[in-house]
Amino acid sequence: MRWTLRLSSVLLIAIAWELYGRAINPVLLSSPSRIIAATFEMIADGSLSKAFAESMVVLCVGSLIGIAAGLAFGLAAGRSQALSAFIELPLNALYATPTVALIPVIVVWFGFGPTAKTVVVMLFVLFPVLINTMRGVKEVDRDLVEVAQSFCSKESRMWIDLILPSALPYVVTGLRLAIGRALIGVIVAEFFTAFAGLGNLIVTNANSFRTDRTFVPILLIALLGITLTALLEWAERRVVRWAAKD
Amino acid sequence: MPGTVPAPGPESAGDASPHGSKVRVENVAVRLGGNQILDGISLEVAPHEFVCIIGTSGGGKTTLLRSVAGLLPLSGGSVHLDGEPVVAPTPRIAMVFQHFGLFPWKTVRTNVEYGLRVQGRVADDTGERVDRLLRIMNLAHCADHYPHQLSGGMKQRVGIARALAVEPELLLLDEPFSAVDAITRELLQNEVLELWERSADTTGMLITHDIDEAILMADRVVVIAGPPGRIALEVPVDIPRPRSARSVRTHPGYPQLRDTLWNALQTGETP
Repeated sequence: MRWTLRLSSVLLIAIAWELYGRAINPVLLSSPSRIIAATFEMIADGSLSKAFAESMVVLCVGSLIGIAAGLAFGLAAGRSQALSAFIELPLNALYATPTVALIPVIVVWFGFGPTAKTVVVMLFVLFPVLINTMRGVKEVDRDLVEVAQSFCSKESRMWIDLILPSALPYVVTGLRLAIGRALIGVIVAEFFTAFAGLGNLIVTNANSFRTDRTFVPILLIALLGITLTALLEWAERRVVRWAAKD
Repeated sequence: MPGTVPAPGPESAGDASPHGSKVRVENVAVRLGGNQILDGISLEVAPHEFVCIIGTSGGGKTTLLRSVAGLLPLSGGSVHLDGEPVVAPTPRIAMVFQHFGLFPWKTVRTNVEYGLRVQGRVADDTGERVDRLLRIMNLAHCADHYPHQLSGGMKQRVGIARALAVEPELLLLDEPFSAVDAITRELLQNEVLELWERSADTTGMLITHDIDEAILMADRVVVIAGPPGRIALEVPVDIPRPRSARSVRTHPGYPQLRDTLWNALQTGETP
């Protein structure tokens, strides 16, 4: 029932889009049927898979570096008062700055190649992961720390029994925020550098008024975002089984 | 934790501590954040004695228990277990917490095993021992449940089983029954009392603000008044064991003992 309602809204939008899109100039809106046709065209000529692969490499490498750095710094800063005080001001300043504003500078530093784009994605991912991980580690239940101490737990055991499990829900939240931001990061970076990837495909097709071909990468990115978020929600449910469901 | 006191063999215990006391608290003072919480508390607990420490809220009784556990830095005085100074938590002491202190991501069984695991004492018979404890504490049917699936009484059963699993020489109970309902409280009191009377080599210290609980469980009741916490009164409870809530209340000495403790608590409140 729930899924029927969910899918019927999508269907309704598609039908309305199709009817209205056929009635007006295809440069303005195009229509689902034309977009589907363009998808097959772009798969056939290889441009879609090439751009998709280019974007995915940047997305994956940048995300992995950003997540790894965010986790490492977040865990360390969550446990060490000194480190967290040391990085607090620059961290807040950088987090408050829209990362998009840094892209032109990053392009100046790293050029128009994939390195610059990877750095952008990394920056987009780093902060939500770092800040959420740090908060998770800091908000470890003091009572449970005392329990662990009373049973003579070593600091290393405390990470396994206490700190990591209680930080996990925060980390997963950070990762979910990061995925959305990583997608934004890769597309915006490709707008600026405009040589490769799905972002480039959007810009070049829009510039030549191929609105149907423009929508193909847009919808692909939307699909990618939905899939990744769903995957993470699934992982969250598996990992945080102990939490109260009600 | 660094500085854990090494456990001496049981034979070395007797000569090191005068009067054969298991726990010796000497002139302990604790100052936290500029407040004097405890001010010169001295207390001795004999082997296999069960001492209840009673006092009003904020009187420092929990601080005293945490000092004995080696969880707090003392600003003065000392705590000895079998003549060995306690300056950090030791595996010979186990604690039961007011708010249970269970790990929400561990099942009942892994919570009970926790102490053995962190102390590196998992052996071939650990599974059997934990099974036996789960049966004794009526937890066998929910061994694979998570704490959020349990009632308060069941949670505290897990907390008690976890403490007993490490076979402590000294069991510290910090208001263990104050967060459960009245009926469950009475059941748990009886269970702990029974376990206690059957085990010969555990010494116990229990914190409570319930006079009847103290009389029911204790060989001796210590009244702490504060802040800053100091001992206002120490009274032995000469009601024969095994006890029950009923046998205690019908004992001829009960009304007077209750009055004495009540008065000490009242006058202690406004020193």
